[in-house]
Amino acid sequence: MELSQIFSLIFARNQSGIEASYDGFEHADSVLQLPGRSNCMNWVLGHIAVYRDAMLAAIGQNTYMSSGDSIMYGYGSQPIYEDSSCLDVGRLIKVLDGGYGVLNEWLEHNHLDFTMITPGELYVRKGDTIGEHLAHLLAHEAIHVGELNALRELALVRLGKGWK
Amino acid sequence: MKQNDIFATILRRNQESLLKAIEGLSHSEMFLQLPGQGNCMNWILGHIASYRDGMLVDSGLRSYMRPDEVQVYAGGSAPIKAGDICVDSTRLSELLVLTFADLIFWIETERNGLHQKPVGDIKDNIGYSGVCSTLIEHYAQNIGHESIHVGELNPLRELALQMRMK
Repeated sequence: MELSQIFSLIFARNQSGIEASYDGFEHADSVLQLPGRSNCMNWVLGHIAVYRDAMLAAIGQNTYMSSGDSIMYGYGSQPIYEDSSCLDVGRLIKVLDGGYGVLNEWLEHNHLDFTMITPGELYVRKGDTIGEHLAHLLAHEAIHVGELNALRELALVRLGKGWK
Repeated sequence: MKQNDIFATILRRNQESLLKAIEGLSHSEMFLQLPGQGNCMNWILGHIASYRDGMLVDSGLRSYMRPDEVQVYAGGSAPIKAGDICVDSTRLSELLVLTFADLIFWIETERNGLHQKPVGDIKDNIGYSGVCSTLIEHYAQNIGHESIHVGELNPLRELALQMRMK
């Protein structure tokens, strides 16, 4: 199994988790709040999109999120509530689908060099080589994907489709 | 960069997030449930530990969990609620430290070990053992799977902290 296949496999897992999380929901469902200081689905999806852009930029591809979007969803940004200004969940889904498609296609190329130096002007730079950068960002993304599961359960309960 | 480096990077991040999520929480706080069908922390920790055991066995290393413990946390196992038969959270925390230590040492020192055929785990059939034909695939599937479960711990920690304030 090549390095690119490992990245593809984990990336596909993440994307599948993202798609399963919002399936059947509307924008209002994406701003429901769990107990405590957890972020809502809208923030988590936007945060993943900002960091996915950092993967796209590292491999020289176009990014999707504006600098304002990055401020809204970046590390340490404010939580998003029902009355907060935020991107529509439909837009976030398109951004995540688009970024996944581009990254996945890039990973299918032959002879990728994962020892290439990671560019310096990224929103977030997580390793000196592209391989290190992608490994860190895929792990970061996967952990946030895990957070979406409880938020999906919450929305299902709100829709009367949950257990309690 | 080799396959080992990807796995070591992700496994280290998983362990760091996992330990942060459970830090200072009691055994009873690990049974708290969020709305819906999500699992509690005890189940998630046991599930991660048992799947790590599967990686250890497939790598030719010793496992830590007994078959009866693994059964409680297998894929598709029943949710755990307070009072159910389960592994004590202190032991789970220890298992997660031990399995991490063995796995990270093996990944970082046995640079060609991942290219072996999996030893397999016919007896207990833990995690992805028996499903993947190569050790690398087993590690890739399992480490990606583990990261997502680690993420599930964060809202459960927030719930526990919230409950303390009531």
